[in-house]
Amino acid sequence: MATLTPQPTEASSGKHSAAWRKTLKRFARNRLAIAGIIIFTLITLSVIAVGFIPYDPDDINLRARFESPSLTHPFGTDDLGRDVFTRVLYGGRISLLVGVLAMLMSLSIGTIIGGLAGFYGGWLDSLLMRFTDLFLSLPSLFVLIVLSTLMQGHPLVAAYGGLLLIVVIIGSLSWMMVARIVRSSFLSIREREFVEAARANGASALRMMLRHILPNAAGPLLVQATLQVAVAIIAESGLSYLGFGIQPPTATWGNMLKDAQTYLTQYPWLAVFPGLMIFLTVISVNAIGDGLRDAFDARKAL
Amino acid sequence: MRRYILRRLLESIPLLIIISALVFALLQASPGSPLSQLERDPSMSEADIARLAEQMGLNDPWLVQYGRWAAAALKGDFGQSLQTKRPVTTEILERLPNTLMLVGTAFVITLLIAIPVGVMSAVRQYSWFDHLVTTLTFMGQSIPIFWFGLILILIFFVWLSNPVTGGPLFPAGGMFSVDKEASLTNRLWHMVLPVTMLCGAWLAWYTRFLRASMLETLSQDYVRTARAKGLVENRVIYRHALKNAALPLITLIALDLPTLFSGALFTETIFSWPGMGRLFFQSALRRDYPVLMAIVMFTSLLIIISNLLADLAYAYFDPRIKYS
Repeated sequence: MATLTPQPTEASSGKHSAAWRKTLKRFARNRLAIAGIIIFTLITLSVIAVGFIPYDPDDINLRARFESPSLTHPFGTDDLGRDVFTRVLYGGRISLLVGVLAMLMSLSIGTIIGGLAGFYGGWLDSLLMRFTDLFLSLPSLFVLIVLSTLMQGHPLVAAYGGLLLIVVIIGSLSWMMVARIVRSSFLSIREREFVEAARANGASALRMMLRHILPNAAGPLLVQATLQVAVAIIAESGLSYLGFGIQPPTATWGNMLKDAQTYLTQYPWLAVFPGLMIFLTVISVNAIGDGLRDAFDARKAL
Repeated sequence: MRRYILRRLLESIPLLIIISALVFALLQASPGSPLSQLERDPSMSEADIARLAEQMGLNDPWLVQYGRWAAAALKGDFGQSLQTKRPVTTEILERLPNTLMLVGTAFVITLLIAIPVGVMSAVRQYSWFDHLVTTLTFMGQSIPIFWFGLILILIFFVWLSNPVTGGPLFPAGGMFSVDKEASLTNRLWHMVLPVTMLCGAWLAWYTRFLRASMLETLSQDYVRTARAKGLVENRVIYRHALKNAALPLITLIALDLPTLFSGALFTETIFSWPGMGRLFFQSALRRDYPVLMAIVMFTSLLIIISNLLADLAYAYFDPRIKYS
């Protein structure tokens, strides 16, 4: 069967790489997006690198509480004398991990639901889209908090301060936009000639979806994936800030802000740095997303 | 049109039934049954508790229990708060006006600023004003709202002081000063920072959205026609273009309308504003599930209603949309 791979696919994939190169070129010309890539890479590298330095984020030193930022403690120390700089970087590990894992989860759910709805249409489409509407009618922040309070303390989810739980909750409540985008791309692409050709050649439904339609829907999906990372990072830090997310002593940017707010009047730097890191991460991810959107939107680049 | 409204109303009924069943299932899964307190009472025997459970219908099939709960909920009875022992509906109605006042004010201010700024930004595309607006809104969309609130407190409560009294420039919590007479000015004073926090987030989205919509409208043929007819530019912009550019705002407004009643969780929590958002936060801390689920149910209902209103508004204002 593999030898019978239809000709049009080859042709269309050849055309693809040219289109991708053009998109990449358009993206590279976008200064904001490049700045976003640089900042995001720097943040990622530093949260990885912090594992190799001999500082422990949970190292308590009660003689060095609330020290102002200095050369030894660039971001100062907190109420237990822990180094805020080290904690901010370790917190970044959790925040980025949650952001990427929750994005992967929402992307998978959304692609499966939107893909099936768009490819098959008919009653399956209406059913899956009503299901999507159902999730869109839920107040997500409220439901996030309710689920997190209900599940907290469950032994299955206790690892890393409940990291897995938060990923699953955020991922399963944020796939709806992905589903809608994938559905509309699938709806239009399935009518194109190369899909017809694949169908005529006897390609299975799964092969048509994965090999022929999905790669052509990659543009909008990639843009949405970037935005999902930003959404998940904001959701995690918000939940942890309210006390319903990752549980201390595991540091995340959100629960560091929660602790910092108690000392806001006397030791404001405790609140400045974790928040600044969330802001920088989210703004760089959004810049990348915006750049990708413009790069894929060929009309706009003309 | 009437048939369209009717159909949309009918469509939202199964949605509400499924959501309420989900809410009820979560409520059942939550710890703390209505009898958990009696179980600790030494004067109650196990047989007494079993009899009470039977009387209260706790042994009935799930569907029967759901039916009973839903029937009561339809009459506005969501049970009692585990914390205060008062009806959940009373708790909610007490907080509702406070939320309406805070969020409503922020909503109106947002629209009053976002519309002219968005229009100006689009009309003078690539001017310094436009660059400033796009930069600020881009930042505003990325700033975590709760951090923005903390920074506002830091600047206007901690750092800046009132030149007359020497106290903080703006209060950072509550609706009134405890030591003063509850007056309108005192309340407005307390609203400044939370309203600013809410506007900060909304302004970014609304302004950016209106700018994009306006840019697209300004390139339409009918705008060119209006200009070619020799209409005054202001008339072209505000009569012909803005009317159409503002239409998609309905989508954004529909998204935020429920907040007007369900409360702004972060803002009310940070500024100790006794509204719905804070009620939800405190109930979550105390694991007061009846209150939590009532608010989730209430907010879902609001979301469905505001989506319906948005679709109807679209159908009403945009003659190109056929409602069938």
